[in-house]
Amino acid sequence: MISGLVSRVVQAAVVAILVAAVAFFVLQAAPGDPLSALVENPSVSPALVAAERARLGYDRPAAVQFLSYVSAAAGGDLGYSASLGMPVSRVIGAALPHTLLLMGTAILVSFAVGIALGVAQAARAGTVFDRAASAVSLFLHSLPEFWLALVLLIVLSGRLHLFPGGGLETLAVAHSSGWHWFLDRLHHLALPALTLVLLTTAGVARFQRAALLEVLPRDFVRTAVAKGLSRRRVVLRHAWRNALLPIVTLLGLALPALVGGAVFVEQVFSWPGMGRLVVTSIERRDYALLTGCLLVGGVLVAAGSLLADALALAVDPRQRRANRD
Amino acid sequence: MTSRFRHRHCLTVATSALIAALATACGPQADGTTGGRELAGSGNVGGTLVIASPTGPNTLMPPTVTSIQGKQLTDLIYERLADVGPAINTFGDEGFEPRLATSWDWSADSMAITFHLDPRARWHDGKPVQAGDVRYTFRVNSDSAQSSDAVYLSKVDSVSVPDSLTVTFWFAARYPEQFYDAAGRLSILPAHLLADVPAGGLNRAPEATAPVGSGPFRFVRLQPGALIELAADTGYHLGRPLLDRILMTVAPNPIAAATQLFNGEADLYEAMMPQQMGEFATHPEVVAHIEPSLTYNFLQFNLRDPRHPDRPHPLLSDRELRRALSMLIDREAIVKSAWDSLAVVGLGPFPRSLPTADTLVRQLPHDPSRGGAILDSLGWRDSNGDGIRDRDGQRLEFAVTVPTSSAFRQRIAVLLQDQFARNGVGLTVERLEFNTFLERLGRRAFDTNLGSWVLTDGSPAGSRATWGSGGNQNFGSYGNPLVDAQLDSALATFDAADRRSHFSRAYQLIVDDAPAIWLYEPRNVIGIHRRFVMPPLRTAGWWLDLPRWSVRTGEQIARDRGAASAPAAPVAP
Repeated sequence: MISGLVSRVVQAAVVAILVAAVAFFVLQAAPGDPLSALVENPSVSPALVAAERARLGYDRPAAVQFLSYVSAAAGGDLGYSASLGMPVSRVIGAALPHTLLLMGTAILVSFAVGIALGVAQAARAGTVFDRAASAVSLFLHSLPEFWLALVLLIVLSGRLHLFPGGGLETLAVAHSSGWHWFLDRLHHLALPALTLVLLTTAGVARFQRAALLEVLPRDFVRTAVAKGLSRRRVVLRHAWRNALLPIVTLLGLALPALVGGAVFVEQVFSWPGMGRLVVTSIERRDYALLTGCLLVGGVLVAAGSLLADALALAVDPRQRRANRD
Repeated sequence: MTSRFRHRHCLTVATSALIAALATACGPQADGTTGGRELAGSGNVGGTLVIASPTGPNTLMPPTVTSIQGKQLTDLIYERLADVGPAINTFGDEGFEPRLATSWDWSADSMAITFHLDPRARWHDGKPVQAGDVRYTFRVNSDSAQSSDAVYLSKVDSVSVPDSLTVTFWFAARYPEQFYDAAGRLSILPAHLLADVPAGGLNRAPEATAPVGSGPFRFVRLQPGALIELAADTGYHLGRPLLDRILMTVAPNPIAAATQLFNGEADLYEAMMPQQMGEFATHPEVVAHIEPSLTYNFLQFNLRDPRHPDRPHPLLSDRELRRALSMLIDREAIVKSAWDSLAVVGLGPFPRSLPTADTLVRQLPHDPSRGGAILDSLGWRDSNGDGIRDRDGQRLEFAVTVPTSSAFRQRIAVLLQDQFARNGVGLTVERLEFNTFLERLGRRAFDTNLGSWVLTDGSPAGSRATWGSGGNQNFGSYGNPLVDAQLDSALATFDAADRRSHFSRAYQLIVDDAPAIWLYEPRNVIGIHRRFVMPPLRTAGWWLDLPRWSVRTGEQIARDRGAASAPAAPVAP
């Protein structure tokens, strides 16, 4: 068990470094560097650009830059963000909690609602409710994220004034209590989280419905029904537990987003998270920031993946038995 | 393209220039004492301004600031010896307003300027501002590896410090922008905090993200990529700013930023798009300030072959061809279509707001038949009936590169494509990611590009670099010795009328040579909440008079009342 865990951690570290390396070299191959925007600025002299380029090490070969970055990162130094003018660790440290809050909320709510909806649909398969829920969830699932975010922003914030137009909290207002502050945060979180929930709930519901429909005709379910158990008890106690495994797998696949953030939603709702940071680093060719984001993201995703495996073990006795054997 | 600045109306500029001229009515040799007028005006003390900004600053260290947001913030945190006044005159000392320096004297031969510092001036950590700070700032900025201003400061021989409140700039030569270079360019840095920072390390000093200045607002906090907060320095030597706080919040999406403005979550947004103008009608609490800009946009021709830069461009090096192409374009129709009334047709390599602008420069007319006739005479005819003119088997066809980051430039490229096509000229639109676009400009690897220049400080000195022979930002490689001579004379003369005359001749020569088609000057639309009272917005930047902004009586909202004043700077032992 422990050797398996160690092997997974090593694999994850290698994957994280490989992902960071690919991103680094692809970005290096693209035209420009963090200082290229200065070319068009008449108030910036070429001498200053050249000096800054040398100072930041962008005049060295890409492989040398990457190796020196990785060796520094191993010592805990994620480098310096040229586009934001501060250490990468500080930038990521500021953005990561915001992304965890947004994505954690969105994943939690969408899985809760999606599972409930999927179970309800499977239990009433073929009814008008099932067909209507399928149509609506398919419609929501196929909407582009950017479009839905903008529509919700314009309608719910711009027209109806139900939610703020973005940001983490109401600025420059002293909150009378911690509760007031919490409610204000929740108010700002609502719209970006709602966008993500609308987009992802449908997928979870469809997975859950299909998994449950596969389990419901099985013998052990028929036995439970024959024993005279209520329909509700049969579905929730007997069938649903057996239909949970695909959802745990889906949760494992969703965990990278917990760290990576939702690029479009963060952009539209001015949410200063990891997704926006990655976009900024690519737009501004900020090699250190991008590599740092991917390294940190990779490590956390690996941790999330281990957590998903542990969850699968918890809900599936067959896996536990296989591990014991 | 990289930065944008705001302006007040030309009428105000003209009036201010007249007042400044009448008030000083003297040359550079005159005693520059203008009195230590208080910066803050009268009005209610208190209030918070929330600015929605598309992006945050790259640094808050003045010598290396390159973004407009960085400039806006550092202009409020730091101070110069004197500020270019509303007339944005950078020649001599006319119109300059005292800041750290209460007065100044010119030496008899104009080779030295002595500044007398305000003894009340304090750094935000309580230490007094001293002449040594000015000398340190000069030393940093005269190093080309640390500051872009080094090229301008090369004519400053040295800086001496007769006493702690007196500093003298000694010049190697006498020239019209001497005063501006010494007083108007340099944001004075705290030597007591930065002197030990090794050369080249300023951007990594703690003060690059937590600056300590001597300006009207002090730094409070920075959330990377999200928020910057400044507070009024109640002990500011020119009088406490009226507003308590300024918050700059980053809203990258323009629709989200406008929503925040119209919802009342933000008070100011300066990148309003024409399609958002209708919102002002339904939100009377937000006022649209439509101001002229120091920006001009153009279709720039590359006169060198992009594949072989040592050779002339096979098509566009021909002056007559470029003139003919210019005549094919209906610039008014393009501006109307893309901008409606939020831009005006460009006149040449200058924006109208520039003091040296000449609005009487003779334009190449929009005359497709004459342009077509010139093309015919040059041998460019549609010999095979495919709709594109050709000559000796070569089609009259070229590409325009546009950055995908600008929806407007992409739209204008399509309008140009249509107008050229109607006259038998092929134009391929090449949409490039912004960094790729810049990289192509730097390598001169393009046929034409939709370019833009912003004259950030109102000084026309940069025109030599952008349109002079061999200028490092002359991406089209245009060159005309007569233009160079006129620009050099314009930048060297002390006589205002002579200067205008030289600039006018240079502009006319450039327009006649058609190294570009002068398309438009956008107007800046700044949405500001109605509760703010402010002087007319300044040409060189709407933020320059922020210490004088206040909130109208009875119109304070929760965030205006909730703000606590930042304490005065502690008094240094």
